[in-house]
Amino acid sequence: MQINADITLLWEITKSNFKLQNESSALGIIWYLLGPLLLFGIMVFVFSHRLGSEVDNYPLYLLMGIITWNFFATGAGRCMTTITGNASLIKSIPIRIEILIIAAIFHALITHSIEIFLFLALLLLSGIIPVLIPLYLVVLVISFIFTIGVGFALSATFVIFRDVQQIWSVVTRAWWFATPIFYVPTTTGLGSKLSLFNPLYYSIHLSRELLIYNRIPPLYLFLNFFVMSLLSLLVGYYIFRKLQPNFVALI
Amino acid sequence: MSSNPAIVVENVYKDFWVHARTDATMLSRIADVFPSGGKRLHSRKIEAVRDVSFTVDHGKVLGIIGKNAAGKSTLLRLIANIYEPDTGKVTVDGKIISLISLSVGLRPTLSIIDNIYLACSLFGMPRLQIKKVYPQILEFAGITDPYMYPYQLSTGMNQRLSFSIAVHTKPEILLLDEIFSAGDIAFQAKAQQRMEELIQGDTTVVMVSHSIERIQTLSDTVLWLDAGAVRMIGTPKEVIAAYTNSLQAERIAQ
Repeated sequence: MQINADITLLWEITKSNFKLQNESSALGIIWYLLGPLLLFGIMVFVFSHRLGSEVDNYPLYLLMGIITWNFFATGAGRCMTTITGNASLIKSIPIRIEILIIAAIFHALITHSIEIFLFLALLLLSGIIPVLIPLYLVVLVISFIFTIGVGFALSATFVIFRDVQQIWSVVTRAWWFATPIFYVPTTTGLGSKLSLFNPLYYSIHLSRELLIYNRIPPLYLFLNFFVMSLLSLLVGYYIFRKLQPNFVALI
Repeated sequence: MSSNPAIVVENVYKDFWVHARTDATMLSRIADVFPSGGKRLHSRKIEAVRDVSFTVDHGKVLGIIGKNAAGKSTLLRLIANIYEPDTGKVTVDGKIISLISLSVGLRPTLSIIDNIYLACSLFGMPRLQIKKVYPQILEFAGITDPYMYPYQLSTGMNQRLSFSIAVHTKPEILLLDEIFSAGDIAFQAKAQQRMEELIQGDTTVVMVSHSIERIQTLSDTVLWLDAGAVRMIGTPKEVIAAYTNSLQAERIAQ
């Protein structure tokens, strides 16, 4: 009964978030595709000849990087303002705030799924048949877990310290450049070692290998990513629970 | 139904630390997380509820009266488990629906039908149950076109909708904060009738209102809250008499 009610709530909040985002926008959900496509167009134009010259299917390589990154950045970013944005709700109804946070990520997942469908269409057009989709779904689930963990931590700390928003925008900027989205990671040296600690490197690298290159990556990459995501969830949720008693008074 | 009281509040205290600065930045907040010499530099303590105890039996109505800032809404939120008491204990037996703010959950740019689904799910109803009650909600609120948007309705109609949603979610305990100003006289009569039905159907109600008349007609017990503490608790007649006397005395003293 309770779980039924929770699922209904999760569904209704995700749905209303989605509908509200598209309101009074002339192009509506087309923006979901247009945004990443425009960025993609610019980057293909700028980078193809230099960074991308030694990569097979560089445009697809780039696009996969952008949309995978976007899922994380949008999901975590939306979580950050979820508690403050629902202040009046949280103050007047005893509601499980966790559900609001997870709904924010589901909202990002809807956008992401649309992008993935577009990406799969592009793959087929390029003559690539993505046979490893089931394994890709595993990567997606792990990414989801990772994003929830970060989302919990961000949403809770933002209630206490509004500066988190500025800090987060600097962090994501640096993180974006540190992640092989538009370039190819080096296989030796410091950069390659740092990548092993970057969860986004895993989600992007694994997705590319599986969908674009039809290669099964070594198991340890999956395991590393999974352990990091689990850690993110545990630490994020711990922070959230620690700070939760302060929420109502501070929003 | 159990023989336990529906609500038991035991020696509850609740303080708030109000940040004295509106530009709550990281530095000022960190400063207050680590008070210097036991003092918080940027915050001020407000004792919202002090040593409050009472019980409400199933199917009874408790009216709470008191001046502004007496702690009435805080007390409702403590019962609703939105706040946790600093010390003391609140025990509740039954499903609580809190109507602390009437506009809550209604998104002006979602259609009314979407809003009903959203609000009902916020009140903890599963999908199938919402499907069953939503025609009743529309009918009670007097709305004929569920594909309209709340922003197309008047404030009064929006409040009718919220009230209608709350009373159709099968509450066992209903918490109401100043909501009887909703709608016109005809709707108020309808709302009062519905409340009486709920009370007869064994719903427990805790209501906060400045409308003394309403409190007098609906309540079994009245609690007078003054500066966060219980000043008096008893039958509506005696408590309301004492309350109005004290208000008059204050007015004369001024």
